[in-house]
Amino acid sequence: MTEQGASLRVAPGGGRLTRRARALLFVPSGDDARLRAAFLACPDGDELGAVGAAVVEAGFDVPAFVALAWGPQLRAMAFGEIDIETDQPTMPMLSGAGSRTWVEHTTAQPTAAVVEVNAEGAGESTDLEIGTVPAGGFRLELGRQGIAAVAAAAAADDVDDVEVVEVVDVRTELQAAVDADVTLPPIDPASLLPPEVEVARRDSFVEARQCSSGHASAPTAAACEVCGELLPPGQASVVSVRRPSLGRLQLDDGGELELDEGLLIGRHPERDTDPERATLRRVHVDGEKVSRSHVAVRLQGWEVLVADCGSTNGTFVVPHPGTQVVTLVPDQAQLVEPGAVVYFGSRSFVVHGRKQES
Amino acid sequence: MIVLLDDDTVPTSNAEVLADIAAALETIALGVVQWGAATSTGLRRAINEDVWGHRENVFTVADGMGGRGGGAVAARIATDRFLDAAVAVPRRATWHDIVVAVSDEVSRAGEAQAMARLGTTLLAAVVEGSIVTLVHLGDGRAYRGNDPGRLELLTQDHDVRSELLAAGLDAREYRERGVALHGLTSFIGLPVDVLRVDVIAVPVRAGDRLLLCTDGVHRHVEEAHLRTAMGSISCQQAADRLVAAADDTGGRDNATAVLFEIGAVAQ
Repeated sequence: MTEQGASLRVAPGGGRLTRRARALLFVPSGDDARLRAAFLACPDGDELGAVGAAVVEAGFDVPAFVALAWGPQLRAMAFGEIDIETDQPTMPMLSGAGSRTWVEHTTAQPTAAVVEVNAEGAGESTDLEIGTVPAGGFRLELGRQGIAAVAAAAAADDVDDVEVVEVVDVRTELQAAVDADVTLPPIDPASLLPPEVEVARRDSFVEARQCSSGHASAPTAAACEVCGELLPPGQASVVSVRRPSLGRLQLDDGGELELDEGLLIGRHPERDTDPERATLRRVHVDGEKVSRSHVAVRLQGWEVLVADCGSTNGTFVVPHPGTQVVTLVPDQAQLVEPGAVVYFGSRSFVVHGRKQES
Repeated sequence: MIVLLDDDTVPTSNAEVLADIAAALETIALGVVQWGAATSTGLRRAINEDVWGHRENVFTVADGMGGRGGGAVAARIATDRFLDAAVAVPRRATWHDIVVAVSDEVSRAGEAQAMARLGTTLLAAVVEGSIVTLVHLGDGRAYRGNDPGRLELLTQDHDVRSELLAAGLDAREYRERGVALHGLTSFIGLPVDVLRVDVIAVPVRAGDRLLLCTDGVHRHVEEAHLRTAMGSISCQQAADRLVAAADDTGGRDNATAVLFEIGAVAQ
């Protein structure tokens, strides 16, 4: 749809301004590649969300920027030392300075709006519809006509929404609705991998919060799981790290197994051909009633899961000292915590968590 | 003849020993002592495609997809059919097979109404004494917590971002290549050969609370709110507040929370 009512004037400068149909991204200086990629790759209407996600993923290590999206609402987002000025009474100015994260504001249904960032020297209205131009600032004028048209279209959409619920067999309308839906189609993660890439399971990443000593803890942890230091709350401090060891298993013969990757424990686990267990490290444990592949230990995020592999004699878990024994259903994962004891055949192991440093 | 019991006569099968211990512990029974649920359309969408469900000892949340009512249909069908199968005594199929049957039904309903690509996430919790079994597809999340403010994420999102993370790949690189990281890798409505169901048994103790929520809650609500929900206020109040908190952040999505508390119940 052509946005007749949006006039964009660009001021000269060394930054970059990227425009989409109803959104723009302005980065006054620095490398905008990551933000621009996110801004351009998402479906219409998701631009600000996509940029926000890219900022979080980059650990907030991005240059200052302004992102705007308009339609029935005007949404503005500012990060870093940069200010947005508008003629809207609810949002005279929006500044990214002084916030560790970005600042966002939405004005409901403006009839017209003018938005400026460093607009001094802005030239003629550009006909840029999609693409990137050098810029030092801009002035965006959203005309009464353009916004009214968009708002009317959105209102018409809303009416459709309500009608369709009641008349679910209006096939053509529904199909069009389904086709227009922004829900993302399923993607097989395997298809994303270049064929030559061997996924190294030891290098699994997890989201984590780090203490000042650099220990990684679960993102929901209130205190460092290693040294006990209090961790700052909020998503801003969450980073992606290589998963640390989640603890260890202590076998009844004194042997120890590090929980730094998934394990397949049995009398002859090397003979296992189940593709679901292909990535697990084989651990040979002798015992009379131990099956060839007896128990699988998997790491999921920050949790340790055990599952019986359809063994002859079964696997039993005492989840906490003094609690009821649980008989595992074959191939069904059971979450275990430090202190849990897992019995398999004539053998057993105790689950130990991560050590506290003394 | 008197047989003296010495060490040799102690049963050596772990199964027997454990059965004895289990019998001794049978006297304490755990179950749901209180629960609450709340859902909101949010401020930006016309239809609530989230559905929560509760029957007997089973709780569910589902977030439908498929545009303008289709998603709500998918979430409703999946919730009802799953609950039917989950509370049937005796349970006739494995959780995986139940989910496959539900998924088939949702696909067929979509075809019947010419709604292709109909789907829904599904997250269910089945409470059986000291074990809560989670059945999970999509990006709903289950958290466990208790009063002192412990909070734990029990599920892994079935989305591209989590898969890349788990595989040790840099999600940013894929985003730059135009891959939508929020794309779901498993949900109800997919054919059986690509359907992935996580079934996780979680041990619980008296005082534990479990929260099931859709992405409208866990993507938008501050962690501090999740922590508060795990104690001090009733489950219903907590569910209401979580959903209100999601709306307060802009109400970009439908938001649904189901919360229940485990405690000692009469046998």
